[in-house]
Amino acid sequence: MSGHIEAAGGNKESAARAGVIAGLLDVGIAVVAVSTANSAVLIADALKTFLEFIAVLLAWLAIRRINRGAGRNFEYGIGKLENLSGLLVAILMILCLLLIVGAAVHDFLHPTHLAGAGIWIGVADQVVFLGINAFLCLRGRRTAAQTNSPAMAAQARLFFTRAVGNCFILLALVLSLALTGYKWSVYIDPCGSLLIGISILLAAFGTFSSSIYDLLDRTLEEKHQFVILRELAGHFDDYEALHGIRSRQSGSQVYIEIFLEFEPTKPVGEVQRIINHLTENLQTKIPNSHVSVALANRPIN
Amino acid sequence: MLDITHKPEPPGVTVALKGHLNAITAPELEQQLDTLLNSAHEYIVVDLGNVAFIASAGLRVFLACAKKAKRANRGLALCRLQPQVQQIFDLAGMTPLFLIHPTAEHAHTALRQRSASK
Repeated sequence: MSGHIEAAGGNKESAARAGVIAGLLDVGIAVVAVSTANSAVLIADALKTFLEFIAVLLAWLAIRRINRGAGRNFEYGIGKLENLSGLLVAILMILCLLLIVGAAVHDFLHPTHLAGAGIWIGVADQVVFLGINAFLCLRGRRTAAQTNSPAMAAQARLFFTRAVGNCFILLALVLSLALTGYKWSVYIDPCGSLLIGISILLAAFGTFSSSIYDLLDRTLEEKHQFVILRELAGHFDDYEALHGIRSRQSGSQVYIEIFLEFEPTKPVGEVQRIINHLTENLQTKIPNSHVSVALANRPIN
Repeated sequence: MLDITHKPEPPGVTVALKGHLNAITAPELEQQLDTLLNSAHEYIVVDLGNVAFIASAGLRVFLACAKKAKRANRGLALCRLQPQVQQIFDLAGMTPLFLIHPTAEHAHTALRQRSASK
């Protein structure tokens, strides 16, 4: 069981680390492109890329912290780090959106044709990172599905947004270069950046609502409550009394405590066998659950 | 909202429920069933004919009471379950734990015979 958890943690960390490396490379290239071109959409892209890199870095640090802490420290609540980093990603996305809108407004007020070697660096950059972001998005989605992690789901959404952004920037740059003979082509650049802004707004909203929802401790879903009841009904003759069930969901983690009374004459070994069976069955049927069965001889409220 | 009414039918008692059995109403039902299980009544018939919905918290009350009834050697039966309520009991794997009858009269007759044969 712990081997499975460690492997899942390792997958998440490795996927996040790959995102950090790709992000750092992307920031470097974007800065070079911006410094040798006059495109507002490239400036916005560089700022957005930098903020995204910070966000991916934070997620990687949070996952690293969780993996290093596993089994060594008191773990209740540490899963919230994942949700907090998801929330921070959303806030950074909103800041990025404001910067993009600002740059687009400036371009509408002072339109110019694109020029400079940086434009071609930008085009090549977008092509390469379109491929990388699409790959990381698919990988993140797979890992999120396997580990039920809100942080990895947020990361997958982020890479999807970035891939869509790459497409729009690429299109805006190519059209701006191809249609320089037309007066109106000066507005392609700011229009492209506004479309990127809309995609970021949608992604930020999804990430924000998901992270806020996961940050709040909440009661277990009914479908999981039924799984617990079904298991207790299946073991009806094994225990003497059911004194209470406590459950809560924190982030992707589920905590369940069951208070049972056993016949005083039942051997300890037999009680342990029943507890182990109940615990293992519930942990198998409810993803990311931590089940503990406690002995009690009066109702637990 | 859940209305709980008792109708003594010696040697047993009928507990009729009306409304929704959820996390808010379940503690009150548990308290009343506990009191009845500790009273002189030999058995309890719970009439669910006017209950349209039972949440997991309500099922938990029945599971705990089934255990208490068994321990106290008292009879506990359910009657007039609406199809959706029966489905919830099936889903939770709790149907085999209870004597379930179509009417309160059937339940009383079965439990009276069970009491007499002890």
